[in-house]
Amino acid sequence: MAGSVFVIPVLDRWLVYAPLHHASALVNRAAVCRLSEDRVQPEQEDLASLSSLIRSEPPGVPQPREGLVSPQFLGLIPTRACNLRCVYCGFGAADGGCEVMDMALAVAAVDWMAADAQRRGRATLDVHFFGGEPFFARDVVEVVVHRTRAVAAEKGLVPRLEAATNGVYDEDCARFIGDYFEAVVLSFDGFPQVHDRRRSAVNGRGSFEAVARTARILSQSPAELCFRVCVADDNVDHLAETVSWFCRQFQPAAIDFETLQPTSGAEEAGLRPPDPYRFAAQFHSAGRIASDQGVRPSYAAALRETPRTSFCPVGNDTLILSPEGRVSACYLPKQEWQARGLDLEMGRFTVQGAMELDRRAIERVRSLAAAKPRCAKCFCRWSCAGGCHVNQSFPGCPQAYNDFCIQTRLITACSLLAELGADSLADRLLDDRSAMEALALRTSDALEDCEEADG
Amino acid sequence: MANISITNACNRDCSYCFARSPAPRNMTIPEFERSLDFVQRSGMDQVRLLGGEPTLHPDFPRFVDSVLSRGLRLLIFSNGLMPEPAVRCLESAPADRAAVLINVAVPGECRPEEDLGQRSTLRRLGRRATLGLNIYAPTVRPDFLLGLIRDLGLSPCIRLGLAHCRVDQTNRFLHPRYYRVVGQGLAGFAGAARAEGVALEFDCGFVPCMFPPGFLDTAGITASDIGLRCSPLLDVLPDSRVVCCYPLASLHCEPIPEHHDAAWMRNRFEARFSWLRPAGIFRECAGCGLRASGQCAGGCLAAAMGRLRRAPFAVSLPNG
Amino acid sequence: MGRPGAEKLATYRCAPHVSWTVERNGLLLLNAGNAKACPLGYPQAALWELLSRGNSYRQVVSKMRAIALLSAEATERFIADTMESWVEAGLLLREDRDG
Repeated sequence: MAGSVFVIPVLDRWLVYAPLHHASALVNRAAVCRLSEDRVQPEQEDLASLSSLIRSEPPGVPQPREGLVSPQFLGLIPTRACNLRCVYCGFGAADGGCEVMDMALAVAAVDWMAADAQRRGRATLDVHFFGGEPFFARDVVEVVVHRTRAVAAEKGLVPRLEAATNGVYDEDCARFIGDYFEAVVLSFDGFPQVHDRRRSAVNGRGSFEAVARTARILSQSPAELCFRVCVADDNVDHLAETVSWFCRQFQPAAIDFETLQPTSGAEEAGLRPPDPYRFAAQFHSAGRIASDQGVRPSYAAALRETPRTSFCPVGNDTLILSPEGRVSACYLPKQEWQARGLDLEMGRFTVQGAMELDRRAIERVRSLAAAKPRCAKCFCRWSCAGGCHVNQSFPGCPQAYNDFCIQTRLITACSLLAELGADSLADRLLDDRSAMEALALRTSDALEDCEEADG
Repeated sequence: MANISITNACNRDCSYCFARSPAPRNMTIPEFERSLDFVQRSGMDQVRLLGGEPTLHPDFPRFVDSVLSRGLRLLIFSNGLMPEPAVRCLESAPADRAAVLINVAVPGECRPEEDLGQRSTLRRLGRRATLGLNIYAPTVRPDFLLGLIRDLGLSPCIRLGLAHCRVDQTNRFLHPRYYRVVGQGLAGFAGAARAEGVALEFDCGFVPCMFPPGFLDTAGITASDIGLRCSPLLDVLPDSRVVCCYPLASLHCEPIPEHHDAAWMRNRFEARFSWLRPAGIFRECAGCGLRASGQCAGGCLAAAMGRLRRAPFAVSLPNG
Repeated sequence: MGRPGAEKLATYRCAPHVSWTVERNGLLLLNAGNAKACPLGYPQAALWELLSRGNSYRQVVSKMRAIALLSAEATERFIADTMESWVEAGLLLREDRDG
């Protein structure tokens, strides 16, 4: 039971959460005492059944990966160049260089992935594009799309193409994406005055018109469209209106919210990350609006369907191929990892089709998924799993919960409450700063450490 | 069947309406009689009157009499906001020969007076009235209809429709990528409907693959029941032109034939649009077993047209 | 009469009644003129797509080489043969001229 059952204070109630048992319950203080001391009376049937469940062996404890690398998808960065100069860019677009992946290399990588997928008995051939702006290297993407489909047909696999993109290109490109891609994550920060302040082209002009046009085209296509919204202090209080407008105008499949990662560019532009408590509250109400419209609200760190040791590519055996043919576990530029003392490079891929991976590098990257002391007693350890390994859970990171931890804990708690039908309790929580702090700043959620419930 | 649209006047403004027309037109009495001649010549025994809102036609009661006096059965497609003479006319029509399908608005999507108007009509028509619902967004749920049927003593049947796109995509419609989500929801609802003795009917455009595995078997519906609904309905417009169906209306129309029947017209429309049939609403349609075995036509043709691409490209190659 | 020494070119145009849809395993070409459907698998589907998106002949050759893993010569032959077959099928129109 140790490390797998948590209790979280929500105003005058307690959330009992056992993620590995897929169980949660809302109880009172006395119940927490009984659970913690294993003093539940049999006649308290519901509580007894919960106690029995949380004391049983969990069906499966996620473990860091072992053995041969088993990537779920092939990540391709056709270029790190970009046609935008977003103030908060952490992908080095401004100084990312203009190198474009060699077509032959990209095709060889697809062939390798197809053979790997077939060998493992997978049903799909998954290729994801990242950047820079992947469609800035449109020719390479075009070739990869067709090669992926060709080799998938040959091997009896279902091709699945996904891209993270800024949406700034002509209608023809947008239609191509809509025709051929299964899923698109489109960076779209909301109303023109917000979006254009942050996401302008190289010539300084705003990109809203182009992105909105792309969004319209993609929303009428078979591709699953997800908007990625960067939330900073300038738009956190307008999330509800933004979401409402998105749903009315575009009806995306999902809206994913990410809080601003501080960069020098963002600071110069006067942008700061939002207050995490405000963000959690605004996410909650905006999420409700989205759900009512049939649009899925998403905060990646709070996704709980499957317990995991990592929610980012790192630690999940992801293989991401850079324009130069280097294979790494992360799509951020190397200098970002290096600034954290990390080496996420795992090898190289050759145009002859050889995936040359360094076994020690693989083990080093995999071990990052396990080494998160800050997360050990946090009820989000099997969902958030420490967040981004470069920005959040890098070795030597401060042990105290930071803003990311605070908002993640609050959002996850509210999501648990919603599942239990306790929406009004979630609303009250998010209206009460001291209650939020009591929840968010609690250093240990482990049931065995629960002292406050005593007496 | 053939649908006769006797007017394009309407007293609602549904975002998903595919029958909108800028030019107001009521079908004249001679045009209506000619339409009925066509229906009878075609061996059909039921006339379906549509709009706009058909009960707004100034000669609506006379049209009803004309249908019934020919020994034909009548089905009216209405939004339930009827003028009093129309309601009285329908109340007095023989219940075994005249029925009304009322397409109700989703709660919150109409004004309070419209909601009251619909309920009032439903209450008066009772078992003559069947409820219909057009699903135009993945959030549209039919659950509230069961309460209406129970409370107002309506016919224990619900006709479900998908809001289809006009070819020019000027109306709100349910994009095929939401079909599976909708199918999942309907499969859940079907259980509740069955428990209350309410039957579900599916309009054209539904496809077997949108439902979870096993649902069709449980519901006693075959794949081809659902999958082959898309075919020329024959909609007679207020100006007597005949179209394949409303979503495809802008592509082709023909006059009511003087001597030929509906089967002849359907063959003409089938031939006209046959080149489109191989395309389906999903990328997977081309390789689908149900398609290959003739149990599914690939969904709504107008929706499939949304996937069509055209480009007048030209390229020069060295010759020899 | 063409210029002396001018390269002879064949210009291929998409036939006016042809449209297509993207399918899981290729394309489906629909000819409203003769009510015929022509499914295209790979690599033919890639060729049609590249042409329809305004790629020049040289660009098409370069990309098709990468997609189909053929030599330059084999790619040009494949393109020429495929396009001629499409002319026969009524999907393309061809006109010859001097360059």
